[in-house]
Amino acid sequence: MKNVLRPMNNINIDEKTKEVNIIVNTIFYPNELIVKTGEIFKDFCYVRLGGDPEGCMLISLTPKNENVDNVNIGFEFMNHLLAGIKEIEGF
Amino acid sequence: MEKFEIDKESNSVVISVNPKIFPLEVIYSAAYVFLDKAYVMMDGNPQENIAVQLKAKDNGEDLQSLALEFNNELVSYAVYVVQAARTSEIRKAIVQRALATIEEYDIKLEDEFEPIEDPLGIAKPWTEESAKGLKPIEEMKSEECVKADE
Repeated sequence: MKNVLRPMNNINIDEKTKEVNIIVNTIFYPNELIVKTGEIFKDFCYVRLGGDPEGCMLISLTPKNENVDNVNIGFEFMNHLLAGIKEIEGF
Repeated sequence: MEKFEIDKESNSVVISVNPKIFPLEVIYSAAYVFLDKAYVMMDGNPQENIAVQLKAKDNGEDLQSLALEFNNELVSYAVYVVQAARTSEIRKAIVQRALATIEEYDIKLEDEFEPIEDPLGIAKPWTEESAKGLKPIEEMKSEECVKADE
């Protein structure tokens, strides 16, 4: 059985290009929400979406300038997704 | 039994949740509480086992208590969901009753309304059309003053 209690490594940072790559499971986070959240982040990042909309989506965030904290931006993206779910579902 | 594992290197804790006990909406609600304290990530299989990772925003955060608090939130929201399902019919009935009362009140008001008498024909709403041909207010006031002097 797969060990689920290991830290997730779905956020990777490319130190050379400062690009943050996030892999998101679309079972937990709907596609539309990923696109909507990407739109929020496009003000301060270059956002690229890819992957499989019925499995795992790949989000690539490249900060537009040095002031953007690229260490935590991936985690912030995940938190925005969760906040978006709350907004849609309304529970 | 719900379990968790602390990873000090990444300053995070991974909590295993049984989706048969806690549905996905309960897990979302519990995770939402931690948005200001931690970065939340979810993975796994919603039919078998769900892993929730909480990465503390503050380095001094006690990861064990974070995980234990998360489990408590799961229980709170699970109870809330059950209670909400139980009382949904009652809430629906209350809203329906309130709306029905408003309708009755409106009908009653319409029945009680009696049009007022207006022999001079002045009880009409002001419009641009009805104002055409009337003198400006300053002119009307000065005419009134002249009449009063006479």
